[in-house]
Amino acid sequence: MPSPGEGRGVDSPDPSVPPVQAGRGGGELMVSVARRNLFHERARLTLSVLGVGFSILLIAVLSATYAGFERTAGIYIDHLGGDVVIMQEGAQELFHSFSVLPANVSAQVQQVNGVASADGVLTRRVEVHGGDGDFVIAVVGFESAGGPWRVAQGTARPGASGIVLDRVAAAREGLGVGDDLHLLGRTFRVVGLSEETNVFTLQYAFVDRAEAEGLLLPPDTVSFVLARVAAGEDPAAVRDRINAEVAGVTAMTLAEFRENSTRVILDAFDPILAVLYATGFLVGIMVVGQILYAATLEKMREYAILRALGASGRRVAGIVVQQALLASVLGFAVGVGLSAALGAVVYEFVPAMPLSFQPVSFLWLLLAAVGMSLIASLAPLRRVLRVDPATVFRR
Amino acid sequence: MQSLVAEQLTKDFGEGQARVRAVAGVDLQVSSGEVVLIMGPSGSGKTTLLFLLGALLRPTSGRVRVDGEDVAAAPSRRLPAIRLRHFGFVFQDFNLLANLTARENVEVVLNLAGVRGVDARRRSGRLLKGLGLGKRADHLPEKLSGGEKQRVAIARALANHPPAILADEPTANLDRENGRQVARLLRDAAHGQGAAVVMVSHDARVVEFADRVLRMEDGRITDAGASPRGMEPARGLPSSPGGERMMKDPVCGMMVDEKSAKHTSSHGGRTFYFCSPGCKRTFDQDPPRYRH
Repeated sequence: MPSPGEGRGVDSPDPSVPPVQAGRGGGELMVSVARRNLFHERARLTLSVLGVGFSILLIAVLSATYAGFERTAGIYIDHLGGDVVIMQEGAQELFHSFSVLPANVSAQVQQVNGVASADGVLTRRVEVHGGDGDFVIAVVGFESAGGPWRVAQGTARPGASGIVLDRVAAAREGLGVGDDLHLLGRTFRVVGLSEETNVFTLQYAFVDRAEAEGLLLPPDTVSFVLARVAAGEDPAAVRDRINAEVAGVTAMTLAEFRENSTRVILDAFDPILAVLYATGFLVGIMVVGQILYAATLEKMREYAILRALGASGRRVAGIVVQQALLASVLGFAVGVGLSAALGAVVYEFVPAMPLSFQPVSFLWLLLAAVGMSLIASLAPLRRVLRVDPATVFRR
Repeated sequence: MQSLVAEQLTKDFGEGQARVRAVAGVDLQVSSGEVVLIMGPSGSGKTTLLFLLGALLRPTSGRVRVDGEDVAAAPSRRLPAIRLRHFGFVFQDFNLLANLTARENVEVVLNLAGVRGVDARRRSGRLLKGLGLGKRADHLPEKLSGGEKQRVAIARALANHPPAILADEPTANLDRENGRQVARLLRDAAHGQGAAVVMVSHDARVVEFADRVLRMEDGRITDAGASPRGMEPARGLPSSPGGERMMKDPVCGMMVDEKSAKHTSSHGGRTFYFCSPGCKRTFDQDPPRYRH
C-alpha cells in the first residue's frame, strides 16, 4: 500500500529544500559512480588491481635488490672498523682494484700524526674446494680489524686453521660448521657462518692474519691498511697527512672508500635496473590502461548521459581519474603484500639474492602506482572528454 | 509567459553538395506550463530540433532562448551548466546510470547543481514518492520495470526544477498503461511546475496529453499549433486543423494526413498510410500482423 503522499504525481517545487545553485555543482555521488563502476565488474577490478600489484611487486623487488646490492656492497666496509683506508697508489676501491702494500706500511702509517692504530688486512679471491665442488670466494686475513661482525652459526674468531664462511656460500655449496675447505694447498675447517658478507656474486670468508700471511699474498705484504684516528681527529685531515707523508699509497676516508667501492658495483647495474624499472612501470600502465579503457568504453553512454544532464567535462573526467586512483591504491596494497611475502620466501630459499626493502621506497612505490594509473587514464580521459552528449538520444 | 523560444532555427550537416539541412528555419514558442508534442516521420528533423533546443547541438543559424537566455550563443564551456539549470531530459531508453539506485540517479543531478547530502536525499525521495516510487527508491535500475525506470527518469528531469523539459520518444518502450502514465506525468510536470514540455513522439497515444501538436517534415514544422482538443475525429481518428482526414500508421501508430501521405500500401482492399518508408516496409513484410 502506498504511503501518505505516495503517487500524488508531479507537484509544485518543494519549498523545504534550498533552490538549485547551478554552476557550483558538487559531485559527491560522482565518487560513488566511480567506485561502483569499478567494483561492479569484479573480474575486471581483480585484473586491474593485480596488474598494478604485480607491477609494484616487480618495481619493489628491483628497488629492494638495488638497495640490497648497495647495502651488501658497502656492509663489509661499514664493518671494517677503521677511519682511513690506505691502498697501493692509484687503487680506489675494494672489488676491482688490485692493491699490494709492503707490510711495513702499517708501521709508517702508525707514525703519522693523528693515527691511533693501523692494521694490515690481506684479501684475495681464491678458488676453494669443498662441499659440492669448487667455487670462488674472497678470503680475508685479519688481525683485529676487518673480520666478520655477525655470525649466524659458530664463532667469529677463526683461530688456527679455522675459517668463517659466508652463510650464502655455505648454503649454496652444502657446507656447514665442521666441514673442511681446501684452498691454495691448505685445509681449513669451517668454524662459523657469517651474515651480511654476500656481495651479489662474491662471498667472503675470514681467516686469521697469521694463517693468511704468505698464503694469500707474498710474504711481508698486505692488501690494504686500516687506520683508526685518534680521538678528536678529523679523518679527512689524517687522510691528507698520510697521502703527504707515506710514499706509494692512496689514502681515503672510509666514506670515500665505501662510495668508490659500491659505485663500481652499482654502476654496472644502474642501466639494467633502469630498463627493468621502466618495464615494470610500462607493464603497469599497459595493464591498467587497457582495463580502464575497456571499462570507459563500456560506460561511454553513461558518460554521455552525465554530459547531457549537465555534468562538465572535468567532472566526468574525474570519474575516470577516481577509478584509476582507486585501482592504483588497491594495486599498491596488493603489491606491498606480495613483496613482503616474496621477501620472506627469498630470504629463506634464495639467500644469494640480497633483497632489502626500505620503508621510504614504499612511498615512492605508492607514487609510482598513482603515477602509472594516472598515465593509464590519459587515453580513456581523451575519449570521455570528447564524448558527444547527443549520443544519448541515438538508439 | 514563453519559456522556450526558437527563432529561425536551422541546422545543416555536411558541406557543399553533401550538405543536408536537418532543421530549416523553425520558429517555435513554448509557454510555461504547456506541453508541445512534435510528430513526424523518421528523418524529419524532430530529434535534431530537440538537440538544438536542449543545447546539445549548435545551430547553423537562429536562436534558442530559454528563460530569456540565448543558449545558442553561449560559449561551449557554459553549455553543461545551461543544460543543468534550464533543461530536464527524458529519453526513450531511460538512460539511468546502471550502478546507482533510483534515488541516486535523481540525486546525481542535484549534486551536480550543488544540492548535497540531506537536502539532495530529501528532494529525491520526495520526487520519487510523488511519482509512486517511494518503495522502489533504493533499487537499481535493473530491478525496475520499464515504466518505473521512465518515472525515475522523469523525477531526475524534474529534480532541479528546470523551466523546460525535453522528452524524446518517452513512451516508445512502454506498454499502453505505462505510456499513458508517463505522458500524464509529463503533462502534470508542465501544469504543476510550470515547465515548458517539448515531447517528440511517434506515439499517437500521447496526443491527448499535449496542449499543441506540431507536425514536422523535411526539417520544417508543416502543421503548427493544432490543439488536439479541437481536433474533430474522423472515423474515430482526429483530423488535421485543415480538415483533412488523419489516418493512423498501423505500424507506429502515428497520425498521417491522408492527402499528403507519401507512403501507402494496399492490402485486402484497404489502403494503409505510413509515416515513413521504414513503417511501410515493416508492414509489407507481414500485413496480417498490422491489419486491425
